[in-house]
Amino acid sequence: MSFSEFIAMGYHGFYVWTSYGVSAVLFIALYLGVKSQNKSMKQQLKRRYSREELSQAKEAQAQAKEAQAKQQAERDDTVHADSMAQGENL
Amino acid sequence: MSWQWFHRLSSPKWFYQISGRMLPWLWTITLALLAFGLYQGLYNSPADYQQGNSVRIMYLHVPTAMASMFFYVYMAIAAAVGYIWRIKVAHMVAVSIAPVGAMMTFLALFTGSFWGRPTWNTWWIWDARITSELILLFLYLGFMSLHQAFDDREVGDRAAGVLAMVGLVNIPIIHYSVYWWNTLHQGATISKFEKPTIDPSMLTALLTMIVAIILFALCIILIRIRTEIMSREYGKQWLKEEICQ
Repeated sequence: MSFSEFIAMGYHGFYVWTSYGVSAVLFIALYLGVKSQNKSMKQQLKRRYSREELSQAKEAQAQAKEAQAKQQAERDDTVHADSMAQGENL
Repeated sequence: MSWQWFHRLSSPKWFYQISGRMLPWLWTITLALLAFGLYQGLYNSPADYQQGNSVRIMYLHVPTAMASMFFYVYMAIAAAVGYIWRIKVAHMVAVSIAPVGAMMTFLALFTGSFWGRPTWNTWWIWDARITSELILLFLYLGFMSLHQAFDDREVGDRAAGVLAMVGLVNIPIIHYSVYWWNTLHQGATISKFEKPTIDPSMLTALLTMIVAIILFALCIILIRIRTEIMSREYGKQWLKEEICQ
């Protein structure tokens, strides 16, 4: 069978090749569409998670600062109380 | 009997991980079978003594038609499992199948039309097999639009699930239409309980293409389920670890 005979498909080339062509195009389009959906969803989640991590880190930082301030205040209080006590002793 | 496999199957985490490991293998097998099936169907098999080379459309028409029915049954079963046991993954499976099944149905109708023109001298006829297959396409499309019509995704899952289950009645109608009614569409060649009335090289091409196209649809569906899992389970720690690794 020669190449041109193969393409002609004995006068049925138009029907055969349209069927195969349209199917191939739809299959490839489906694959690409599904793949890009998957990819964009993955990126969306990545952004979401890194945003969450950032806000969590900020929150943790703020909490640490607060705790530090509280500790400092407590220390100040005890120092103050100590000095008060010492004052009373005097 | 242990139901452990059933519970594992219903876990999004297990499904996501196992499908991720299976997909490369599935794609390899699919592409190899597709290549062999196309070679066999387009080149290495004879033309039909009556239909000539247009018979080669069969290697697309029969697999897509079979896939359209097979995946509809699968979708309805998944919808039922999700409806009855309230299993999330089952609904994700049903939702992921619908567009792939719709495309298979469209291709079955399209290739059938392009096979019918040189063979029966008509693009379209309202015969039982073709009309019931067209109804199948509308069932798929109806499932998809009904699912999207609700703001609450879980309500959409259940409503579309009911439609899928009701539509299941159409499947035996499609299958037996060529026996029940006097139709232009030809009867079954391989899915009957006798020796297939087909040339061996044609049978090889046909069976290969059936497996290849069903596997192709399966790969696409698995990717869609993975996307669906990501969009629904984003709050889960395991998914975060899976994505950020």
